[in-house]
Order: sequence, then structure tokens, then C-alpha cells
Amino acid sequence: MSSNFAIAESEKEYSQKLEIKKRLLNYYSEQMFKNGLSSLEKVKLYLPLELQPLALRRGVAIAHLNIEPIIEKIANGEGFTVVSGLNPSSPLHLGHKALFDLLFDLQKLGANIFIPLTNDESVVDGKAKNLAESRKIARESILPDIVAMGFKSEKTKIYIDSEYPELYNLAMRLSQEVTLAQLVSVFGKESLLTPGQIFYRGVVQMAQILLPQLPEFGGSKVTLIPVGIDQHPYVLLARDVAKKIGMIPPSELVIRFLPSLLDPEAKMSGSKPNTAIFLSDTADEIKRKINRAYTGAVSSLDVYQKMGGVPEICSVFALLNFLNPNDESVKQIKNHYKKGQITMKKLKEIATGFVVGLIGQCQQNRVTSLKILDNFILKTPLDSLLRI
Amino acid sequence: MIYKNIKLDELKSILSDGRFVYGALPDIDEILKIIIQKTENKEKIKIFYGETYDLLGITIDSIKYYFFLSQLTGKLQELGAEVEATILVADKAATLNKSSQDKTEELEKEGIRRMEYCQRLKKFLKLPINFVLMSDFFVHNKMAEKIERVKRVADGEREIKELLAKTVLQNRLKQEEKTGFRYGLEEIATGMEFDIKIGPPREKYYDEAAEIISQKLGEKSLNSVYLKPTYPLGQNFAFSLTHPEIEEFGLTPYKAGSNQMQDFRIIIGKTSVEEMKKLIDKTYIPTDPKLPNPISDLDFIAQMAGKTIETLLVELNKI
Repeated sequence: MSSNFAIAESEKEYSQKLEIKKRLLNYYSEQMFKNGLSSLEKVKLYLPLELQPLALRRGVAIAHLNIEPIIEKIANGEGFTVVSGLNPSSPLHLGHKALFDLLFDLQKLGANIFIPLTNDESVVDGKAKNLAESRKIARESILPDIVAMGFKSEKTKIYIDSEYPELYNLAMRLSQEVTLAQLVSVFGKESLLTPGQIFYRGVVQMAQILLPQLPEFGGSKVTLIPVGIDQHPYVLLARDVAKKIGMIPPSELVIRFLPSLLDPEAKMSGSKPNTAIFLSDTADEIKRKINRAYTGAVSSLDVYQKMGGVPEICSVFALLNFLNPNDESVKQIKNHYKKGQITMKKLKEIATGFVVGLIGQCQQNRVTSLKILDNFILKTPLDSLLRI
Repeated sequence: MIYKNIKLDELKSILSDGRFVYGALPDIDEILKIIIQKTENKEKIKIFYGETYDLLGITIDSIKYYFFLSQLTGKLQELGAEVEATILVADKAATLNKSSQDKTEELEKEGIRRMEYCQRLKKFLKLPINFVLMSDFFVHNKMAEKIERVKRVADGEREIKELLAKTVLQNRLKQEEKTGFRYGLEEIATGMEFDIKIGPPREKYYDEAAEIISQKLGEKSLNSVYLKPTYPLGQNFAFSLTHPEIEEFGLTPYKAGSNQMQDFRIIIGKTSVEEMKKLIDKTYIPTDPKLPNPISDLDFIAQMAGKTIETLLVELNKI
């Protein structure tokens, strides 16, 4: 039985957790409003449930910009293109896995997927010592892990930026369409401190987004860019330039980050190993990390059972919500959690069991993926840029 | 008295059936009050629905309105009311569009054909409604002068113009602006001749404008009942997302070519049974009843057709 003091402290703790939930909700709704993004509620109403990716069903995808042409393609059973890359400054963790699960779901709906591994970005932002180091992580760690997720090679093209220098020809072409003043207004001066940052943020990332619309890949097409809210300016800039050069402005799907294991208001980050579960972690490491993770339940069991928990800010529940495809099980856990009917020990056991199984499967698939890596590598020369 | 209460309940359930009725202005209770008052005072209740047309034929969606007006009239008569239900076929309005101006003669002929068809329909199904050409209505009711009065009030009112702008699809706005919203103002003046109007939801903007004008002219208020919007058949789940304007208000029910969707509608005498089946099969049926559902609209029309035929059979059995 808790003392009155402990109860008062737990009630205070509960209020703080509700406050965090409110802050998170406000943050995303403010971002949506500020950036002119649309809610996905209407899309969820119309898109049949069996076609909805997990990210949509669970509220991981939170907003969009002009996603309607993509939905139209899905409805007509026609293909569309998705571009989503990542900065290979650390091995893949579950935050990346959640993004690749979304890409995988989209591929099942007909998407051709382009995945740039932006080792040049790692260098310009000082996250890697040099191109060779970031290339090595991309080649030896990330690429096999992505392929292991089960993508179809005929519908998936992966490239490491520095191994596909033709991309820079496209970037150079796109640089004719933007000015430095525009870049400053979009990204802010503080993000454009070196020539590398100006080149990368200004046009290389845009080249990744617009690459699939070159004649070598069939020309103009509807393209979806799943991004975190911080990447929104890149999509806006690419949309502007696409209009100028006769391409179709890409659509955007904004997704939430898988939270840090230690802080629901921060994202899981490869550069802070205790915040993340890597696809290379052992079962013991996973168990240890999950046991230390932040939850949405107050410390006093009595108070938790009386007032319920706040699963929306729980880093352990987030692992299930972002990654476990079993809707019924996740829904049930959430309901119990809200009512204080599942102990955190039990929740962590469930999450650990799930994550260990998931990562075990990834590690097993990785062995076979090593043999087929080459089928996924984009090698198409970009002749159209050099033709007169 | 009990009998009347039952009939009143039936009437209320027709007017407020959320599956088919979109809403009312000012509201259903107010409309029922007027009906009761007029019935008790033995005053005639004048209801109407006005429609223009194009050259592509009569849609099943027009028939929906004919049936609805007929059933409403029947229920009012059972209640003891004297009712005059009018379908105005807006022959003059059909020729107002810029795109129709080189087809004036054809459209006028189509108006006559349409009237002939409607008269046959009325006779065959014994519909208790009158079909009247708008041009005839205008002559008999000295409408030119009334329209002028409405125009004079509307000319100085920005709010009225803004409301009228909302009554047309975006692709027709410029053209309507050029005519000074002539069609809308005629519609408003016409509405003032009646007690209850039945129409598609987009017309609520006419009616809001009409209310402002009525007040300024010291005329009685117009009461309206809006049926659910008309949606094209044969569309998948993405259609409403990619056509938000149609999602909100639907197509113009009486114009087969509204938004160039004639191939996705049932046009009487043109769309074959096979084509209908194909259209129905291809139509996405949402699970959420609040979402556009053209199949439930067809079901509504079929139910009303069934009731109409049932009534005819009862009459026949009496003979």
C-alpha cells in the first residue's frame, strides 16, 4: 500500500505524463498547420482498411501533402514511385526498420522504391570522418539489412550517393533552378555553413527526390516521399523545382519518429546507442535496453492501477505500435494500458519477446541477403543529362 | 386526431430520413409547422423542384426528385392538405450557358421532348405532380417584373453575389459571373412563388441569398428540403479524395453531363441494363454511412419506384 506522500507524488507524475502527451500532440498539430500539411483522416476514411499500411492504421503517419494522386494510383492498381533514403552514419535501428516497413507495405500496394544512402550527407554534416567511412557502413551494414527486409529486387533500387556520382550531374542541372537566397529562406543560414552543406541541402537531396522522373526511369511520374517533419522543406523545394522543369511535384507523407527509449520527446538515434535498438543487437542487449526504457505508467502500482497509463508517450509501447503488425494484440495492450491493467514488467516482457523475435528474423534474413545485394544496386547511367 | 398524428409522424420521417435527406432550411420542425398551419387554415401548400437540362438526356437522379415530390405530395394529401406540386423544367435557363448558346434551338426542342416524356411518366405512374415549362410559368406569373425586383435588391449586395457564386461548380463560375448570376436570381424569384422547395444541397446558397432578398422585399421566407447529393457511379475509393468539390455537393442531378461524368450515370433510355450492372459493380461502396454512396441513392430510387408501383397496383385492384 502506498503512503499518502507516494500517492501525491505519483499523481503529480501522472499529470506530468499527460502534459508530455499534450506537448507531443500540440507539436505535431502546430507543425501541420505551420507547414500547410493536411490531416490523413479523410484518406483513412476512404482507403479500405486492408490496403492501409500499418503506419496509417496506427497513427505513425500523421499528415500529407497532395497524397491524392498516390491514392488514385493505388485505387487503379497502377504503380507509383516512392523515394526514401537515409543517412548511413550508424547501423540500422528500429526507427529505420519502421520506415522500411512502411516502404515494404507501399511496395505491396504497387510502389517502385528508390533508396538513396546519403553517405555524402554524413560527411557534410560531420557525422562521418570521411566518405570512405560512411560508404563502408552503408555497404557492409545498412545495405544488407535493407535487402533482408524482403523488398523485390525488380521494384527496388538502392544506391550509395558517392557510388552513383551521376546523381551529381542531376544536382548540377537542378542548381540552375534555385538561388542561394531561396535556400537560405527554406533551410536557414545555420544549416548552410559550408559549400558541401549548400550543395547537398540545396540540390543533391532534391536530385534524389526527382531522379525517378528522368527519362531513364520512364519520365514524369507521381512520387511519394515519406519523411519526418524536419525533412519537409526539402520536399517543398523539390515540388517548386519539379513544376519549373516539367516534372510532377512529389507528394509527401509525414511520419512520426520512433521515440528514443529514454525520452518520448526525442527520436531514436544511432549516435546515442542507449536510445536505440539496433538490428545488430543481441537478445541480452535488447532486454537490457527495454528494461531501462521510459514508460507511460507512474511509479506507484496502486496509482497506476487506479488512474491508468499513458501509452501514447511510452517508448516500450511505441515499439509494438510502430512495428507489430498484429492490430488486435496492440489494440488490446493499449486498452489495458490505459486502464492500468497491464504491469510495466509484463509490457516489457511482451515487447522484449516481440523485438527479439523481430531482430532475430532480420539477422537470419541478412545471411541470405548478402548473396543478392547486387540485384538491388542502381547502376543506370544518366545519359539524358549529357545529351545535347 | 390520432390518425393525423400518425400521418404527421410518417411525414416527419420522410423529411428527416438521413439516408436520403441532406437537410432543410430553416429546419424540418419549422417546415412541419408551416404544413400544419396551412392545412388547418385550408390554404394550398405549393411545393416545387426546378431543374434545367442539357442535351444528354434525363438522368435517373431527376426521377429521384419526381418520386420524392410525388411521395411528399401523397403524404400531405393524406394529412388533409391541399397541395400543388410543380416540377419546373427550366427551358430558358438551359440556353443561358455560353456553351449552350449555339445549341439554343436544339435545347428548346429538348425541353419539349423532356416535357413530353415527363407527362407520359406522370400519366403512366399516376404521379400527383405537374410538369411546367419555366418559360410558360414566367409568362403566366408575370415573373419578368418580379425578377427585376430581385435583381435590383441583389445588385447592391456583395453577400448575395458571394452566396450565388457558391451555387455553381468552379468550372462554371466565370460564366455565371458574366451573366450577373441571372440563373440564380431567376431561381430565387421563382422560389418566392412557392412554400417549400425541394432541391440538391448546393441550392442552400440560393436559399440563403433568397432569404436576404425576401426580407428586404417584405416577402415570405422560403423553406427548403435538400436531398442527398448525386454521385457518379463506377468510381473507385480514390474518386472523392481527388474530386473534393464533387464530394461536398455532388454532381448537378438533372444535368447528365455535369462535370463530364455522363458515362458514369444512368440516363433513361440510353444506359443499357448491362452498362448499369457494370457501373454498379465498379462502384466503391464505403463502409462509413457518412461517405458518398451512389448505390444507396439508387436503392432509395428503387424503393420509391417500388412504392409508386405498389400504389398503382392497389388502385388497379380497387377497379
